[in-house]
Amino acid sequence: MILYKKNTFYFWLGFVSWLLFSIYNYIFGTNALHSIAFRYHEFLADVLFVLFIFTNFLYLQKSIYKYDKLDINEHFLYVNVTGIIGLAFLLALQVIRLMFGNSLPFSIEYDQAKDSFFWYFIVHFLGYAYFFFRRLSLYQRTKKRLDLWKGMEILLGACLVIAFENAGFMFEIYLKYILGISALLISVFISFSVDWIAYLNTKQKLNALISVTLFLLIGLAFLYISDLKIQWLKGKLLYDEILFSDYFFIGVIGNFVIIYGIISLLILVFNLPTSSLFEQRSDEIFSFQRINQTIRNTEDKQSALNALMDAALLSANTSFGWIENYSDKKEDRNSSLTIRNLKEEEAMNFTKDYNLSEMVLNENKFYQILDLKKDNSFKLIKTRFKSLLVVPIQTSGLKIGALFLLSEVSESFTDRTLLTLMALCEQTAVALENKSLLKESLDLERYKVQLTIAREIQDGLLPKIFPQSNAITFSAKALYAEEVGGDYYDIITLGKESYRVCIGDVSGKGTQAAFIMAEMKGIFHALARTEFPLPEIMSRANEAVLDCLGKGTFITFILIDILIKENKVSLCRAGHCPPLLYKSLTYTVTPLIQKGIGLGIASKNDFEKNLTIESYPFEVGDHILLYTDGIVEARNHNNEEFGYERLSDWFLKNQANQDTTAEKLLSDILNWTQKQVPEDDFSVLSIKRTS
Amino acid sequence: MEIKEKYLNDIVILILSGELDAGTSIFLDEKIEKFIESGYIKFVFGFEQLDYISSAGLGVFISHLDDVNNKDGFFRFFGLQDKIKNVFSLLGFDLLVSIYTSENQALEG
Repeated sequence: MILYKKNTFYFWLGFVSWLLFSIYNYIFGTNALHSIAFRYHEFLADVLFVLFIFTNFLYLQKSIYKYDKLDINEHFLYVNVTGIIGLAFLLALQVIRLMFGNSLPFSIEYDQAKDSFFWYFIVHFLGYAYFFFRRLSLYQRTKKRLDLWKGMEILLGACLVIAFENAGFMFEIYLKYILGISALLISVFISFSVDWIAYLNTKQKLNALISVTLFLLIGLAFLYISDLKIQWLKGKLLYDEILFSDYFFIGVIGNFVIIYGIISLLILVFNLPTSSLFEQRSDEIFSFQRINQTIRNTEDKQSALNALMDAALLSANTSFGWIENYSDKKEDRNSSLTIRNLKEEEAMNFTKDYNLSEMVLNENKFYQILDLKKDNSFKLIKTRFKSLLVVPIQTSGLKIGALFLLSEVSESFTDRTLLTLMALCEQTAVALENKSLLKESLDLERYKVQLTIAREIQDGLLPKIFPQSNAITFSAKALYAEEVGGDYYDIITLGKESYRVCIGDVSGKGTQAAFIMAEMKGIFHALARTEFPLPEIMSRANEAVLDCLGKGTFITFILIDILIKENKVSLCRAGHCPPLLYKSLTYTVTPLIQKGIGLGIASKNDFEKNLTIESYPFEVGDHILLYTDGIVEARNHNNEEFGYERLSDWFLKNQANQDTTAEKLLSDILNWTQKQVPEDDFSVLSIKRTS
Repeated sequence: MEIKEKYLNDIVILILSGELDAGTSIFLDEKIEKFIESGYIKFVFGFEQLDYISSAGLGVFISHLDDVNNKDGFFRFFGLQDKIKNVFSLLGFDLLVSIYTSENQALEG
């Protein structure tokens, strides 16, 4: 048992206090051995009495508040057991008296013992009940209730103090009357704080009912056994007795406990009939929680629908129904998995010739037939059921299905039930939608990660470090429209002061172009270090592209050999934007346009027939600019294209740049377009002859 | 993009208007394929109303050119706006197909 373990210190403190009090009264009390009247003996008796009450109340308070969880049954059990033990002791003493009849030996000791035991047990019985009921009344802690309790505790403190004085002067009597009546009133107010009853289910309410009844009976028994009964039989007013005796404090406590007990009893009795309804409502709330949990924990929609079906049957107070899964095709609609307590044929009666589920989903409203026998559409169906309800299960974005409920009673579904069922269905639909949205967003995250990885890999395919030389400076930079793209450039060193440079643009953009770009790199690297002359390399590249790529894909390409020693460049152009050549001698910029078809378009013969190779002098101070069509086709907010002319002008102005040329062009273009991200892939590669 | 169809003997005349981009080129592709399956291999494309052509659009013509040529058919274009003519020329596509100024010229060949 939870209570017997701790607080032994306080228990023994209380016990010893009781012993002191009992022994003192035995020696010096009214029934005492010797009527030793010493000066303060009455005062000392009062002190010991108050100490006894105070220490035992302290112990009882600690017992009640030791545990956070309020176990009503355990507390009732403890208080009732305490009471019964007390009664047993007193009954035993009574039996002893009866046995001896009139000639009772040790009658003084007997009376003292009876008195002492009575006090111990009544204090524990009423005291425990007092703290227990206090805790019950504060089940819901509100300021008002706490204030009432503060008042009560002050009053009780005053009652305890008054126990010191039994002089009987007028003031004292009036004070006792005021205190007593105030305590009575507060007790009544407090006794309406019985909301703990509402949270019990039917079984628990019954248990509490029995416990409270037992409690009140035990209390009555104590009253019967105590001196008060004897006085009462003698006709004296009970209340006066309490006022004029040591019983005042315990009487006030007893008042509260009895009033609270009686009111609890009455409310328990009156709540029993409706308690099953209350239980049902709170079960409904748990249904919502259970549905959410099922959806969270399981991957499959069917478990969620099963949980919904269970909750719906509970709520609607019927055992018959099913959920029809939604599907665009009528044949795919399935009910057999959630059907409850009826055969599929019976259910078919209501779905075969009617399209109720589609109707409720389209109108987003439930459909109800109060009496199937009286409804024109359904009265001819042979069925044991008398009412039907169909509720849609959907959100604005997702149609899940329809809930069908049948009852053997007509007009079975109340408004309240309808509201709950609609809430349950909506809840299920929303939770399922959320789950699928979450899954989508997780998938999206995965794709994003993949794309980031692709970007990094592609970034690695473009050269970052360029050949170093006194004679020549390269600069290059690419900016893709999406995470990955189809532009490609590369530089390889063929020999001393001799380089092979390429730039290419795969048709299209994005992932598809990126893959092809990687293939292009492979093709270039495989062919570029061979001994074949430029046109041969281009032709083989064309063949490779024709083989590898899909039919509609093509790659525009430029291959340029830079031969420093010979002060010239050789160029083949396969459909790509013409490179710009700046000649320092003439301070002009010229586009190098030559015939040449893009790779992957023409067959070998047509390609070779139309390819040209040209050479141009390339001297100190000269500058070549290679770029992709994204640059010239970049549009600003006026929808103007950057164009070849503007590019040429730009190059003329900026040709002095060496390793910053590419970067500068890209940033100037972005400035000009006033857009953060390019609409097509941009790439720039520049070659400056420095010495 | 809109496509208007006309026929002259065994030649299909397709007048395009609007923009030929990644989305609209799919329609054109399907159409050409259907024609080729039905036995039409001689095509004349009117580009007077065509404002823009993307690489996807070019891809459509490129992907069927070989097939059509092998069957002794052709792709002919007329009425190209300057910009598009430039695109064809830079790519070298004009070296593989015939470009005319008017529909009649295209039909005569």
